[in-house]
Amino acid sequence: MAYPEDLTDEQREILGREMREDTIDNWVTNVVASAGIDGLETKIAIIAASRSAHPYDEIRRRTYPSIGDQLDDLYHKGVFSDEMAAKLKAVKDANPKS
Amino acid sequence: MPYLGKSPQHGNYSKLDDFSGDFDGSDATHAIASNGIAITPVRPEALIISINGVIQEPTTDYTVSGTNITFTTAPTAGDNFFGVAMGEQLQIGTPSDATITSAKLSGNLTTPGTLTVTNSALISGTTPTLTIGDAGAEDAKIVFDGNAQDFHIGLDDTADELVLGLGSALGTTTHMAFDAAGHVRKPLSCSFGVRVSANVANVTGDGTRYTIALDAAEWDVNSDFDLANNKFVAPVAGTYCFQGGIAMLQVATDHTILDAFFFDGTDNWYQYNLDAGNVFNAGNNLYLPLAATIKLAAAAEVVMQLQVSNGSKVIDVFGAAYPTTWMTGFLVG
Repeated sequence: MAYPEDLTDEQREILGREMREDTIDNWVTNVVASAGIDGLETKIAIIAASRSAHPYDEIRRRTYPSIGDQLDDLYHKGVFSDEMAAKLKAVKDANPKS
Repeated sequence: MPYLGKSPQHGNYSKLDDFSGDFDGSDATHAIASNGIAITPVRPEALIISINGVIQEPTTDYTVSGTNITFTTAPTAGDNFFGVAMGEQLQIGTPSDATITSAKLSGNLTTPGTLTVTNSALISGTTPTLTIGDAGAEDAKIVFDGNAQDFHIGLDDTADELVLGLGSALGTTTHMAFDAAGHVRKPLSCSFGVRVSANVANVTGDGTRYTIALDAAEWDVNSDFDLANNKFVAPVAGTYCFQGGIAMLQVATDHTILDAFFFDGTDNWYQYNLDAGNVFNAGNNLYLPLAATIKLAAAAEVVMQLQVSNGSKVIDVFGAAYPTTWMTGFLVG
């Protein structure tokens, strides 16, 4: 098997109890490199035994884009007040992309 | 008028026996005697010596040593000789016990054997100096002769080091050494470096307080670290300095509370209280250094511990054949 590609939905759900969804693949890759597939399966079993499935709101919270990404999207859509938009633009102008 | 009783040796002038028959132009040294009895002149001036009717000048023409006279120029066969002794070296006899006082001594003094001083010895003057050794290629030392243990301070001439050590033999049990460049070593004092020899899986993450399994020694001067039980045991009461490094693997985002300690059986020497789940690197690793200076009683024990909470017990401690997770320490004083 090739991880993380071969992770089952059930394994992803279990790992999601322990970490954010966007960090699962990297964590699995590092575990396999360090402890092997057996080590990964042991850890998944430990998580399954120690942590119950998250309720829907926790799963949503872990799955939502970061607050920063959400706010950035709002800024670019122009929904901020003129005052807040001016403050944000001043910060951007003072720190241009290099 | 003859002396009454035994003739005095000193001030008793006597003619020397003629030894001119031994003159051969090459032998400059001759035994001197009077009436067959060896003469020991106290100095050349105590003799009047004539060669061929010419009075010889003391020291210039001859010297004396013990019962011999040595001419500057060896007399030749046929030279005439006579001599007169005007006294011998004064024999003062053996002084009675406890009769020689310090006032009777002067100048530099040398004893032919071991000098034993009862009670105290005092070196006074404007620049009191005790010199041990004579610039020779040999060790020199002061030995403190104790009841149960001897100690010494000495110069190890081979290593060119001043050493302090146990016993009376210099160089075998050195406790402290000072070299010519000023480096100070304590080769037998408590010092150790230990590490985790291989990965230890799933030790914490769920709040488990884990004692790091330090099981291999890089060095341990006095075997003060108990590798079987992963703890340091203080050999004596004192102040110790400890350092450490903990390498964690498979840290996940939910591991939001991390504590690391040195624990001495009474106190936790806290090192960290941080959100590990947000500071690990791209490899899901987190390495932390630790340090503390702790005053310990004899036989007190110190362990290095890790406690990560709010997640599952899936964190590994990184161990290897080189120091990845490790602890070092030494006795400060």
